[in-house]
Amino acid sequence: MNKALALAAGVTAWAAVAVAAVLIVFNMGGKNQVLMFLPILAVVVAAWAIGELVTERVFSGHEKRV
Amino acid sequence: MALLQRTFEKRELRDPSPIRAIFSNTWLASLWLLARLYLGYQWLLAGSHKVWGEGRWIAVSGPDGLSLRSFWERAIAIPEQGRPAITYDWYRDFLTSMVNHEWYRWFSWVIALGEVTVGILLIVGAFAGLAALAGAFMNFNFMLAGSASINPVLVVIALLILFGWKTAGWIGVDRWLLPALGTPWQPGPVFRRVLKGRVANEACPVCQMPVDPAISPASAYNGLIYLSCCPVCKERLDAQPARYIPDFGPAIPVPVEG
Repeated sequence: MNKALALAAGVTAWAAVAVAAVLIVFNMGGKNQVLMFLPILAVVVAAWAIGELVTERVFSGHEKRV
Repeated sequence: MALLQRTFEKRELRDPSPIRAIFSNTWLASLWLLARLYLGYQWLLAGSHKVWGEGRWIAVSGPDGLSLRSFWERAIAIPEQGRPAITYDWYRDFLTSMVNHEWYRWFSWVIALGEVTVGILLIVGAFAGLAALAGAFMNFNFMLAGSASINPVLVVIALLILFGWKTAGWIGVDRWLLPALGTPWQPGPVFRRVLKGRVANEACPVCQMPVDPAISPASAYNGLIYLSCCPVCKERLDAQPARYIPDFGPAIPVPVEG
């Protein structure tokens, strides 16, 4: 159950990033590139934090990369 | 003969540590994130103009892709004075053929939705390397069609992300997606099979090459699983198991794949 919730939290967080990025770019129409870039960066950092605090804590140790 | 042998013998040339630090180590993931976000943002912005707003390419009143047709027609035109936009004749013939077949009607959807998809994948860091490759391919085509714009900058960033595909999506979905799916040469848990039974060997019984429980062909004898390094060795093992398995007895079938 923990794993399912952690996975759902991670998937939801990154799906929210995709939705937010589309809404930001499509609604602001490229008028100010810095103003559009910063909120996208903010939602990515939020999703990363959810991934680190929730998903990675449950699924940690599943890989070796370096 | 010795010269050819020396030239083409198998040698693995390892990357120096600075290259590995940049492209294979997660400590630079934040820099890759910025590169990814910039590139993804540019693609999403370009795609948004094509699927949204007054100058969109698709879902317009009348046939789709008329804007794309205008772009192609400008690109393939050969001016009386000066140089044409397209340098390569084969590419001009390719675009001319697409215009003549009215492929702009469906190709405009491919480009518009492709740009949006590449932008989203880069921003969320899902299949970042493949998304960068797809973006670079679109940049390449725009440049071949004579449109420079910011394409040279985007293609360089895309190629860098492509080289750093292992860590480019570390702050993103790839952190979990890539280990789960694995690669064609090393499948992840999603595709990794589960062997029901005890594996008896670590090296191929036929040629002594190392075996991998995830992908090596399996045979079952005497209640144990024997892995071969390749299908050819499995065929030889199955044809003459007593020759390759020292304590071979009567064959007892056990389930191999779960």
